Amino acid sequence: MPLKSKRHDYKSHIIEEYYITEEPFYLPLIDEIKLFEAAYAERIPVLLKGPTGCGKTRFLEYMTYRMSRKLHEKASSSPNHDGIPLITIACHEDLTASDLVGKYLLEGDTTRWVDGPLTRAVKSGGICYLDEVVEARKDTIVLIHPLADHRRSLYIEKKGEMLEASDSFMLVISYNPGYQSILKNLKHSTRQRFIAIEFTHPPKEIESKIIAHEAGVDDNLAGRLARLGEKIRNLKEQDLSEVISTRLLIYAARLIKEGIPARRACEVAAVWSITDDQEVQKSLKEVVTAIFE
Amino acid sequence: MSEIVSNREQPKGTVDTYFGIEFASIEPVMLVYCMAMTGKEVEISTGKDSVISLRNNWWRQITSGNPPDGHINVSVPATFMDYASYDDNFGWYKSFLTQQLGHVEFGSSDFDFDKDSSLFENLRSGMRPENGCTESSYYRYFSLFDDRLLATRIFVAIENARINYLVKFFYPGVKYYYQRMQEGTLLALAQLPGMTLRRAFCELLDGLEFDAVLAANIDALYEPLSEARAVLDRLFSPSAAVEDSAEAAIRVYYIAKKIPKNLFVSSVEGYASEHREPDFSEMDGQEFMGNFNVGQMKLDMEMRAGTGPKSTMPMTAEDLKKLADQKIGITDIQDAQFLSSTGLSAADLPRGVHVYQFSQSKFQQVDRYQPGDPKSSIMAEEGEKLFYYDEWDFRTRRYIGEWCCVREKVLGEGSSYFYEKTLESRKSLAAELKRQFEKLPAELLYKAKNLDDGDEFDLDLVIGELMDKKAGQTPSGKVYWKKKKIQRDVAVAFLLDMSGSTADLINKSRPTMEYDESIKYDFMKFVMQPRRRIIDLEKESIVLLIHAIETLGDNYGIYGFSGHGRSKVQFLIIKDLNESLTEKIKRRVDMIAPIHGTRMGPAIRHAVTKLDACGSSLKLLFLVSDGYPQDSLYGYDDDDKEYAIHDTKMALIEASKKNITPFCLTVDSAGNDYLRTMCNDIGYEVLDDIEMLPHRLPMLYKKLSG
Repeated sequence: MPLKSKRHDYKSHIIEEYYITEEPFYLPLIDEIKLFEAAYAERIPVLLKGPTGCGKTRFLEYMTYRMSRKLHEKASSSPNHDGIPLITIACHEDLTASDLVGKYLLEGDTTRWVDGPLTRAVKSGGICYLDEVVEARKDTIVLIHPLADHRRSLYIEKKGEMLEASDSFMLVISYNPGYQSILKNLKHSTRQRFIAIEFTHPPKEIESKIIAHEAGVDDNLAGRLARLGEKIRNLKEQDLSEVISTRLLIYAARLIKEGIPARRACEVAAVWSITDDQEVQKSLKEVVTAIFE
Repeated sequence: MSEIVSNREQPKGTVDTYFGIEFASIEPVMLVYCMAMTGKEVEISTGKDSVISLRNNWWRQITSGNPPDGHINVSVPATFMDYASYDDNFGWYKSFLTQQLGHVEFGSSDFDFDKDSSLFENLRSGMRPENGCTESSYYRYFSLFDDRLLATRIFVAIENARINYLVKFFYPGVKYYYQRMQEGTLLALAQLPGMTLRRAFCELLDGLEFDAVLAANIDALYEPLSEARAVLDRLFSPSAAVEDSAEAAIRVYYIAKKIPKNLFVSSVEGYASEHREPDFSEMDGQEFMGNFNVGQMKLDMEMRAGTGPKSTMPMTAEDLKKLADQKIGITDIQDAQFLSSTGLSAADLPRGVHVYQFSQSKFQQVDRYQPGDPKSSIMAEEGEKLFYYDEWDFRTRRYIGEWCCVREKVLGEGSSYFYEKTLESRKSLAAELKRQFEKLPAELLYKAKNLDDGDEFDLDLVIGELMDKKAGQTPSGKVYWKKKKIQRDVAVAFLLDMSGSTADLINKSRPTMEYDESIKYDFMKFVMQPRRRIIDLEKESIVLLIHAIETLGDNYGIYGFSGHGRSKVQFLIIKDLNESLTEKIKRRVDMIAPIHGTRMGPAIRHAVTKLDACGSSLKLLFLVSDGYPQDSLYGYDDDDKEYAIHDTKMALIEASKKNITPFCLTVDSAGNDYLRTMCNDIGYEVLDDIEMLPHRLPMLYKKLSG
């Protein structure tokens, strides 16, 4: 249950009780919704691949909401079911197995076992999302192997326990193949436990709708920003190592909505953010000044 | 903080007229702009044709069978100075390019005869094409008309109008300059008297979107122009496609056909003429209305229509040249037109033909692609090994293959006196550097955790173990940490600038008297020391560096470089990688001396090749220079500083891509001006006080390798 603070306007959730209660805005690109639904029905783990800011996390939020709704419809006899929690773990190179599975904590003269987020997801039957999974150490990633195949179980070494996952549990991992070095690639033994849904930046027409909705700007402005995104992405591989994300275009739209002149907003959100090369910056500014008056 | 406003930075090297622009000076920015706008490789050629003729380059490409996708060729004037400010002239160039790119983005070449128009009722289906579906869509389309030249003229005007509308709609930022550019290319009304009415109608189509054309109320043309304007107004929609232009052109064609052929414009706004100009259909393949080379068009149409060679075969350069010699419809054909009309790219051309060759700019005087393979004419001198490297041409954004010849040679030997004397005269600094370097191994320790045994307990691990123990778990016992040495595995190449400019005297250096104990007579023991040059300080730095670096055992190479044209880039080995320090090397240091220019790019590439062959885990490249890169014809001329800087920049980027860390150290106090461009994300340092070089160079190395 969300706990609302009296002094500050924030919400706190226990991680396995974080439910997506409002439908997130998501526009499908191809058949990713169908694919995910099928994978969930068969409890097949999913790998989401794609450039930064292209909507991987939003897609998962949307799918979690959708799966929860379906679960509700199925379990109409037990209306108290809250749905499927979404448990997100941001991976980094210092993430240890204990951080994922759990550890003993001292409590007075005794110790108390505290489940890690992965264990909590397995027990609660949530969707566990390991974001940027290649950032985690290889010995840590191996932990998820038994969870990601037919066994669907988690081995808790310190407790000597084998935990079988709840029926609604699902493992989802993500990474951006673009900026990972060869050293940080996923091991094949890990990759081959997941089906992979690949995301790209949305086409101009869809991106325009996303920008309009997310930033609350009119279609004309959203269309121009989507056009800018398309033009900047034309430079992929040539002059930019990483192209502009939909997220940055939304930021530009929000700045414009707040009264920042369009050219200035695009400069700070869409030019400087993606490159330090002054020559490329100059060219991108010419693109910005062509699209915006 | 800079801001996107109109005050663009005016690049150096523009034409004499202060506000005019030589396209070459803005080409790098515009090339990336074009690539962003189209998503394709764009080649921009500069031509001396009229602006109107250059504007219709898109149509020439279609009629000549040039593939519309893949490689894109656009043409601009080599210089532009019509306006009184730099921004205005830049805006014109940008608009002009945006217009040509608009034909790519909005699909002028994607015409599909069988595709319906979304804005007009399809009249094409009611007209009878001469040939079957095997011909190109454009050929089938123009076969619908009795007067194909008139139809072509009208279609091109209508399609230009569609593109103008779409560009201004989707790129409102260029609208102001775009409109000025359009107005600048319109026919002056004063030129109309004497023309046939039909020809005047066609000419006025180009500016029909402007109200002024209708307002001129020209003789009997007001009504047909109003009708044509109504067609254009229907066409002006953000969703208009080339098929809509084709339908609009059919309607305007029938309007034009109704105009009497033999009547002339007598007067316009007070301008009158008795002169009678021929109607275009009477003309015999010469210039058509100023906007169109009808000869070219007619010929192209014939070739494409099957009356000439098979229409699917684009004309070759040889075909065109032959036709030009026979004076069939084409006059004054130049090589550049072959480029645009045959689909050949610059890379396909033999050396000696270059896209800049007929440019009005200063670059035309330099034939960079001299005939003859450089390899065949270059001979290695004694002791030299030859290596060929590409050079990066930032203007065309291409490498010129095997353009530079690097001559690798072991530097001759002099005396070891300089080496010994430097260590003696700088003994305190040498000792200090050595002491600093000796510290390095200690600094390369790391903390290994989770060990059964080690230097100390790791508190976090101990607490974890205690908790496990209390919880009834078997402790692992791995609660220690210890310092572990990381094996130093560094390879470094020092590239020393040995250009002629290093012979410059150091400003602060004044003739000094020094005491020399070795001299026998007391009164002569104070001797005048010669004034020092930049190269002397470089040599001193190298001596101190060698002295210090030897304590580390790193694999290091020291090389000098200089250039004397692309075929003579000298790469002199003072100490090669994997070579041990011997007396020979000390004697080579003595021979470090100023030679010629500073061709950095190939020298860096050669050093990178050497470093790349080392198996070390950390590879460094140190470039020590006294100024910006400059060499004989290092670029489009001897003063092409930008070219040299960009080639060097690209060579440094290539090094980074091979996991080599480059670093530039310059003693040129003006270095910040160009190093910012040259090094971008690569480390560099400008040494304000050149006297600091012997101290700074080793310390920088220590910092980078540590």
